[in-house]
Amino acid sequence: MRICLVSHGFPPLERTGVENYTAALAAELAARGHTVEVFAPRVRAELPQLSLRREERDGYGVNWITTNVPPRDPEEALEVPGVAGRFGDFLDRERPQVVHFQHLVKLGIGLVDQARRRDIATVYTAHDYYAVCHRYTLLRPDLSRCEIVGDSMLCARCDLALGHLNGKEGLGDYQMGVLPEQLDEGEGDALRELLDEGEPEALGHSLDELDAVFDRRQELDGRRAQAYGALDRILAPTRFLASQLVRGGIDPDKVQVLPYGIDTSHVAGVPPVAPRADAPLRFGFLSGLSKHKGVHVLIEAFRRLREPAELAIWGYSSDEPYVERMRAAAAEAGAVWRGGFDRDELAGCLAETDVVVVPSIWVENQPIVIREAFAAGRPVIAPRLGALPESVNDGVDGLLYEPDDADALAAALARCVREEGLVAKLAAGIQPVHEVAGQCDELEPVYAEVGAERRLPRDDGLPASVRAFAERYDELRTLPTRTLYERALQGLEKLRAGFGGEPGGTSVEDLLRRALKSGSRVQTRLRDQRREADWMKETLDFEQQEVTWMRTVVADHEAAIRALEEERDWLRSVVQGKEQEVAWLSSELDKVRGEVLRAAGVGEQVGMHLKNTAELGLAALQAQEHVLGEEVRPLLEILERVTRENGETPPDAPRRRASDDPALLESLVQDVREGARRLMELENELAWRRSEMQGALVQSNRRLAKIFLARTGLGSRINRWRIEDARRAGEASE
Amino acid sequence: MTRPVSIVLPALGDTELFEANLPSLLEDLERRALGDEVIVVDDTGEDVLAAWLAERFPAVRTVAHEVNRGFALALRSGVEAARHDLVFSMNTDVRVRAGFLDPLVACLDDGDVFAVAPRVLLNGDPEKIESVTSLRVRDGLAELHQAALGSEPGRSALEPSPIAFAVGGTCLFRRDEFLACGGFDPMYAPFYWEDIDLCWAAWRAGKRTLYQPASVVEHHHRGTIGKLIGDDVVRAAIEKNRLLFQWKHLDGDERLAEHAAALYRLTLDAWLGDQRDELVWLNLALEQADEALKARASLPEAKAGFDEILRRSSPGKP
Repeated sequence: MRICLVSHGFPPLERTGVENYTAALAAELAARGHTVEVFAPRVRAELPQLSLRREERDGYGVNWITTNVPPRDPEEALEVPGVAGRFGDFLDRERPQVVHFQHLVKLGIGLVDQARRRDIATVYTAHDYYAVCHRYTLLRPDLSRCEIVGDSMLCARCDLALGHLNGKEGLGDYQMGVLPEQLDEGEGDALRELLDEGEPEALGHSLDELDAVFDRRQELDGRRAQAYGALDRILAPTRFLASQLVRGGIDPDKVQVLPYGIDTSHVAGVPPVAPRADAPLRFGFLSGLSKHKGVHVLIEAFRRLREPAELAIWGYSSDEPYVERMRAAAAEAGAVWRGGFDRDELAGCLAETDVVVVPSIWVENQPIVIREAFAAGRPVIAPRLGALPESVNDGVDGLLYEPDDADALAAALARCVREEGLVAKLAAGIQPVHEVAGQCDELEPVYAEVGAERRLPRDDGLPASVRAFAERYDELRTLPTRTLYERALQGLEKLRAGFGGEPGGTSVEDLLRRALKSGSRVQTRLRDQRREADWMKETLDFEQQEVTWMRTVVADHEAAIRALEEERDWLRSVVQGKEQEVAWLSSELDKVRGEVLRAAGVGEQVGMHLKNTAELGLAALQAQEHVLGEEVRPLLEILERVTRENGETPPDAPRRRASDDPALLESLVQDVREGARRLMELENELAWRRSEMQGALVQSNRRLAKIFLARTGLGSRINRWRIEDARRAGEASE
Repeated sequence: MTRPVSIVLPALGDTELFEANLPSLLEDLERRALGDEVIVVDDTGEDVLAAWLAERFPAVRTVAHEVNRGFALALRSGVEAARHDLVFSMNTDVRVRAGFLDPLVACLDDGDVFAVAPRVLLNGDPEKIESVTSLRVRDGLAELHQAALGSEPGRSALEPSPIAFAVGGTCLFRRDEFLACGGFDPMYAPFYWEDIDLCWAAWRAGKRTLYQPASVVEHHHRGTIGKLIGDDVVRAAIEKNRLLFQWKHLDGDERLAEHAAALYRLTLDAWLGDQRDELVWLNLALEQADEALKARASLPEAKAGFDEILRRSSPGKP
């Protein structure tokens, strides 16, 4: 039978449970005469994304697909872009009769559809809960166990919680979940409230946000359910896992419980557990150091253990914060930290261990390490959790304890130390491990059955002559391309012979030479591709030149911008200077104004004073004149009378009045004239000063207007430069 | 001078086609009043047509196969049962137009003419004539050409001319000649290329196949078989038979060497280019290679070689 095994990893690159199981299956099936092809992803930086490379192993082929580009979002993780199409090419080439999927993570659910489209039967072994839980483990981000399977709203709450944890530093592998001590005070409660159908606000998220996450999760869950629903058979190694799959919506008619059969050759030869005189009992942890494996529970239990015992911890994880925490806790508890181990070293690890502890906190399926421990005759202590009770028979081949309970585990450890003969009794209770050969005995009928279900007969309504041809056509289409090719070459050779040397006795070599000379499609395609590659290279070169040119342009622009900025700064300083100048001029103007005003005031005051003085003078003169007139009049009258009496002509009355004191009068007149002249001078000075002031004002206003214009011009230039800067910056970034 | 004709229709159980197409045929034959006959070969293997036809078209004779044997053998059974010297074979999805027989019969007055095909209008479209056929060889592989099917019919579609073969076996031929050469070769089961093979064998024997546009029939193609078994299976049958035809008829060292080289090229191309379908077609043909070589060996001596037939059978050639 032609069988394809699909796994998310494969030895030697990946060597954990599922990968080793798949490799053992491939080797055993191939040894039984089946044609086995393995399809698995790997990261190879030197190969193009999605390239396919085949390598021969012990009787089977491994087809590696290069997946260098990690998924960018949950959608891409669910359906890894391009992988399904390449799987389709692989299926066409190999045409397996059955595809046995071990895991679809890293490859995507689209692979199932590719097999279906080709009417190839499909079997899937559920090694975890991925078919119904996008987190594989049914563990929530706070490391509590999900009790309700397949509820998209609860799954959305997990998504939202993970989104929250994603924003925090130093959590390590937060995807698996976080320990309470890794969270801030109150944060753990808020996380649990969100997961327990509470309000998302406690963690700073809105209901709208939760609704959006729910819509997305529902869509993704729908697609996953559709893919898993299209499988022909789903194998579950344990009854518990099978029940969870059915709870999650998988068709129970498709689910079949089939416990693992594993290759135990690598742990053969481990000496049986034997009492060591005066030496403490040795407990061992041999697993991945991811949080769900629960080593923290074991370390805590060992810390509480009062009985003399040893604990060795073997394992590796990339979750460094957790590992560091555990390493420190182990040291404090007195456990020995042994670090990572290779599968080939497992026998040695088990030889140093009397009892294997599997302290998982998730609902384990059927850990291979338990099978391996049993194969080496080591009893196992495990929690009463998930499918573990299906693997460990309490008191017969191991002990079970209440999950998550360090005290309960410590008690189980203590029993092993205290109860004499208990470990030996448990070791004696171990049943032979189901081997890979037995597994293949079970799988072969499954493959045959699903294969037969897929080979549906042609419609009975077809005329016999047509049906016979159609059925033969169908049969040939199920053959691998390689087989079709080889058969065609054989058939052509026979045909050539059948022509009885008619084609001029031409040899195959000649025919091939001739065939390829006249132009094969593949040759043409290769030439076209080479031409296209050349063209693309030219385009790339040209674009690189463009980029170089653009860089110089950008550099030029940047220099221009810098120059403009310098000019702008200079202009700013000029404007600042001008503004200072304007301010100075304004203050100067104010001063001038003040002076002018003061001068005008003084002038006016002086003028007024002079005028007043002059007027007062005039008034005084008039008053004096009047007084003199009054005084002179009687004297004149006397004089007239005297004159008359003396026969003399009396002088003119005014002459007499003016000549009363001609010198004084003359002096007064001079004074008045002087006052008037002075007044005139002062008025002239005032007028001059006014005109000066006017002139200064006009000049100041003109300068102000000029400064204003200069400022406006500079402002608009600066704006223009800014706009230009922005435009150039935009061009440069494009 | 016109003569009576036996019309043979190999048939499966599609009575709708009879209802659509038999009335025009019977009407035309009645108009001729020459004692023409219609023979339906029931190839359903269930003998379901005789009673149905007797009730609706009592003038039609029925020959039934006990088991389904395919188009080639059904036609042969019908021809064997024919009472007249001239036989017109047609599919049940062909609808004749009035007066279609006389121009065809006239062509067979020429003893060198093996078969004569009417103007076959695809779905009744006057612009799509199926029966102007020729064969070409490109890069060592033969391919069909229907000059008047895709574009506006040229001059060759309006005048009688030689053609490579009568498409779909819709043609008039002489009963004795047909039976003497064995009729359609069952190697081509389930269908396609048997009509080309028959006419090519006649060309090889120095006879001709003609196209007579004065006779008009309509081919109301429904793709029934494609719907039943899938177009991919129909294509596989065509491609398989295309190869078998060449293995039976190609001659000359150069032609054979060119073809053999083309087969290797096709194989390599298909393998390197992941063209699975082509490898399936080739394998289907290769599984019948012995039959083709046997048929090749039993061909009578050729009066015209492959290349000569290519030239002579091209439409428009005198």
